[in-house]
Amino acid sequence: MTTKPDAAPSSPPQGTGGTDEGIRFARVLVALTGGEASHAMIEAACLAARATNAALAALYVREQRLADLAALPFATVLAPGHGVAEALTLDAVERAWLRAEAACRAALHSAHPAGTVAFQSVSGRIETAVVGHAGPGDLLVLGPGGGLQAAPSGALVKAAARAAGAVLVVPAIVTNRTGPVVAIDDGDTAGAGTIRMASRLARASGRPLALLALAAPGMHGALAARAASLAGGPFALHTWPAGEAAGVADALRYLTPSMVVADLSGAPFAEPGVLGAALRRATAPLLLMSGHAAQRIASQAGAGGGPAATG
Amino acid sequence: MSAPDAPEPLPPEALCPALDPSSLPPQAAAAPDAGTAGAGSAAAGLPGQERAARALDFATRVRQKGFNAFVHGPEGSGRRTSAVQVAERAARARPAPDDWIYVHNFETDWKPRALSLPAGRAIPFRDAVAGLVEQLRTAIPALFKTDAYRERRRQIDERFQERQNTGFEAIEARAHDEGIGILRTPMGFAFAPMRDGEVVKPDAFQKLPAEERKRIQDRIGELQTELAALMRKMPEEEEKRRNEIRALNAEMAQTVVDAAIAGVRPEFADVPAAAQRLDEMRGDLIDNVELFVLELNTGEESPFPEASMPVAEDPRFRRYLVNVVIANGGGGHAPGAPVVYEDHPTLARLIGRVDHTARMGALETDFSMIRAGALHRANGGFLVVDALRLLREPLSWDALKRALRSGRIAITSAAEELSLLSTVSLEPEPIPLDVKILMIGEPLIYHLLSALDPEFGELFKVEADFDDRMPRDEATIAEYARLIGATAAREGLRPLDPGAVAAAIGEATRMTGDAERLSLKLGQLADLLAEADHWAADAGRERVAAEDIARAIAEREFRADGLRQRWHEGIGRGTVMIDTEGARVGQINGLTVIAAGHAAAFGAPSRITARVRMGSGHVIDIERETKLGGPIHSKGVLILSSYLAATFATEAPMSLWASLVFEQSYGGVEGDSASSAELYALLSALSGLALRQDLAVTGSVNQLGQVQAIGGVNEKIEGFFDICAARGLTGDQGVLIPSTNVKHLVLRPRVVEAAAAGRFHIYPVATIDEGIALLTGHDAGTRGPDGRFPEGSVNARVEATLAGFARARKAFGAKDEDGETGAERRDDDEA
Repeated sequence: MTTKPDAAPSSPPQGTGGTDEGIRFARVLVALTGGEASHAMIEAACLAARATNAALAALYVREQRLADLAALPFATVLAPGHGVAEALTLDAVERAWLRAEAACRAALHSAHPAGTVAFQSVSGRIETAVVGHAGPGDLLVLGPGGGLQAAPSGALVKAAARAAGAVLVVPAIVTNRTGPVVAIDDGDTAGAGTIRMASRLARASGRPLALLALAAPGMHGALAARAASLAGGPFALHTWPAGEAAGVADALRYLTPSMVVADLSGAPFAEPGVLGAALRRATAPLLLMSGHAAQRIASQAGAGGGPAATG
Repeated sequence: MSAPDAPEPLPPEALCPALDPSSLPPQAAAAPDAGTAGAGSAAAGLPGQERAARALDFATRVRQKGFNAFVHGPEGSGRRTSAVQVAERAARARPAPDDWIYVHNFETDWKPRALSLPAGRAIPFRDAVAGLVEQLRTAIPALFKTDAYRERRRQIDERFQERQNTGFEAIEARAHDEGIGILRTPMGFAFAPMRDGEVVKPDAFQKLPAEERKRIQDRIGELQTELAALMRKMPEEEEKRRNEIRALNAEMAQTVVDAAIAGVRPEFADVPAAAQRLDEMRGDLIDNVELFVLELNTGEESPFPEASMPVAEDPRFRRYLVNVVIANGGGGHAPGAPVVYEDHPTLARLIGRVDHTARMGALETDFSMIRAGALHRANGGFLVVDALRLLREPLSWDALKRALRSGRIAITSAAEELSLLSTVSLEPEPIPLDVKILMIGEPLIYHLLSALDPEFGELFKVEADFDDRMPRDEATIAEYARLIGATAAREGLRPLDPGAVAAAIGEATRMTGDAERLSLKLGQLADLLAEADHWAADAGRERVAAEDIARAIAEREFRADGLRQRWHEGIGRGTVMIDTEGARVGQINGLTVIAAGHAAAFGAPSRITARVRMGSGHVIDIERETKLGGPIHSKGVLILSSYLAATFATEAPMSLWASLVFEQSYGGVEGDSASSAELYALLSALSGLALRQDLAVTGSVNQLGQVQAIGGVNEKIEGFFDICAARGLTGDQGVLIPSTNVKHLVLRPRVVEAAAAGRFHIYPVATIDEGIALLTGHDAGTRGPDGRFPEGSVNARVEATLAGFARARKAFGAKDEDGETGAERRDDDEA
């Protein structure tokens, strides 16, 4: 894998019409439980911190439900790979926590050697811990299911997004690490924020940028012009019928992204159940911004950041 | 003062063969075609080397196995140049042999394959293959970025994900329906009873009815078994996915690879090996197409990593490249078969080697690091190699024999041969060998190999014997004159005028030390001509003249004259005692040749003395007793002892005790050329007749009293002449030489001129009697009918003395028997 030097805070790129200083989170807070996605979460968190010049913080959660499970008389666990059942005891859980915490610290140190990482270890339920530790303007990095389930619930994501500014959900398996960073642009002001965010992430990771624009007939030209003013570099523009926003997941599959940036207030998530399905089916990290956060980022884009749907 | 039967001195014309320059053929002085004669010509055109020429001609044309040639002869005889040129002539008549390449073996990595291609086709094939790989390096990654590929790849991944999810979700759904959740813990999957999305607390669980608890436990057990079965199937699913991706990659790559190969194939359609290689490459390229989409981590950041690294240096693609080890034909090569002269025949340079490169502290190698040896380069042609250099190199001789015996070149390193390496290395496929070896060496090496190495005769069936001399007669002189002209032309020297040619021929005769021979040490001849050319240039002459040859000889002698001068100074100043006038009993001037290092050999007199007394028949060679005499010298002394006994002690026991010594000799004496001088000294001591000190003597003697030829006669004569000349020639001085050495006389002009003026004399002596007569002025005497030597003759005096010793010994023995004393006899015996 070819590695690129970390992107230094850069001057506004040509044609952005604004300043990237607006893309800033108070912290990037990654919530770790030592599950299978931990490494991918740490990578994604480091990338996000680098792209937004944010401080990186880690919260290691000793999931209470795991302790509850171990206390049950028949608690067993199936180790990945060979599927052999082993008894699950509190001692084993303690040892696993210790190992996982050490591994997380090492992985953070390795992935973020230049910066300091505020590392905190807490006990409790991850939903409570995350929401409790998140502050306004944070970017939260969550694993699948908050650590114990296949995927995080839509409710958890929304709650976290409300508590902070944005949530980056990392699936257990990331299928494409070099694909494009895709921004979903539904044409409103928050959509402009997703483009700017995705553009920063693409530049920081050295990956291509792709825009998936939900466009009404005849709006393609206007969206392209707005995207060009926001992206600050080359990008591929794909359009999807605005009336079929709920089916945007099909388009994403086709693009095989390495990361997706969207705003939770956007059209694709308007229908109930869409977010949950997206979280369950995701094969790339999903950066979901609250509408407020997306607009805040978009507002820094100046003239180019206004709604495209002028017609 | 000479006795009647003493020999007469030789006339001046017998001292050096003369050559009238006008008798030379007119074309001799001009430079003939340098390509047809002289040291630069093939042996067939080299005068005096007909035997070697025919042997070389045969060896280079016969194609059967084992008819390699050992070319032996003295250094400077033109043997190497001739061998190379005969080989080149034969090589031109042969077609250029095939090219050879080494390629990666797709089946067995460590056994690179050797392929032969028609001459001149290997390099184009190498370049074509490199271009093909370069083309694929761009085309294949582009192919994998196409929408078509991505879509099909995505479908495979989705199907895999679907298969995994379907089973897992089915179990999860059933579990959920029954109030059981699947949790992903750091240790793996776990099942837990759930209520309102939460794991049931242990105390709550304990409060459940026993039947419910049992039902939950049983159900969890069942679900766990199902999930375990599903997880055990996951590796199979993963393998299935990989296979599907591999098949997709191969399918996609096939089109591109086929198109690229199709671009190369027509050029090599007539070369089966190349066509087959392209087929093999096609299969491997398709099977390993992932190589082209892997990102190479070079450890160095480069803004243009793909563009900056040539395909040959990219380890991913090296397996497809071509290592040309032998390229024949083409513009840079002489037409025909190769002729290779290997000057430094180490094992690696002879049979090739496998290089290694250090990477991350380890040594790595592959087929591209196979290097050709001299045998590879000479394959299909001729290899000329020096025997001594070859034999001095460890393992080279065995490797050469093995290659010739087996008819193939197998590359092995010295470390492998000596079992010093235990790591896996390459084992390149051996290459069939069809080469003719022309090994150059000294005759001694040839004979030692013949005697000691049983395989030698089988592998080197042709002996090419280069002589170091040729007869000198009217016909050969003309040939030799042409050779001189050709040598000068080849060396880029001035042409020689007839006088210079005659002088050079004279020096060539002198080099052999034989008036009837001409030297074939062409290196020395070329050196002489080069030096003469230099002096001609100094003198501003357009052509080399006789004076230039003479100057060259004189300068050369002067340069090498230091040791001779110091030696002769010792004599001239009386430190080394040599008389050149008067007469002495039991003392004579012997003649020796001194040769030290590269300095020219020179002659010098050495005083030999003899003392006699009564004894038991022993002649003591003091040189031998002190281990300063060599075996041949000792043999000479024993022979003269035998001569004395047989000549004079026929009727009484030999009752002589005599001692012989080279006075002031500290460096050892070898050879029997002084045995006649030693005998003369003994005869003088026994007869009481003084020997002339103005004469010096050389020659060996046999048991019959005949004087036999010796070597270095010219140097010996000149050595004594120079001493006498330095002291002033008296007109009586001279040297006694064996009459059989007269034909060897090629004396320097200063000696010839002195002889012509009657100031120095060379006496040919056939027998000891002739020599002693000359040295003593008395006839030696022959036994008369009465069996006695004439009264007053040398031999009569000797016999009388010996008879006196016999009588005295008899009387002494009688006293001893009376018990007076045994001390003297013991002393005599011990002596």
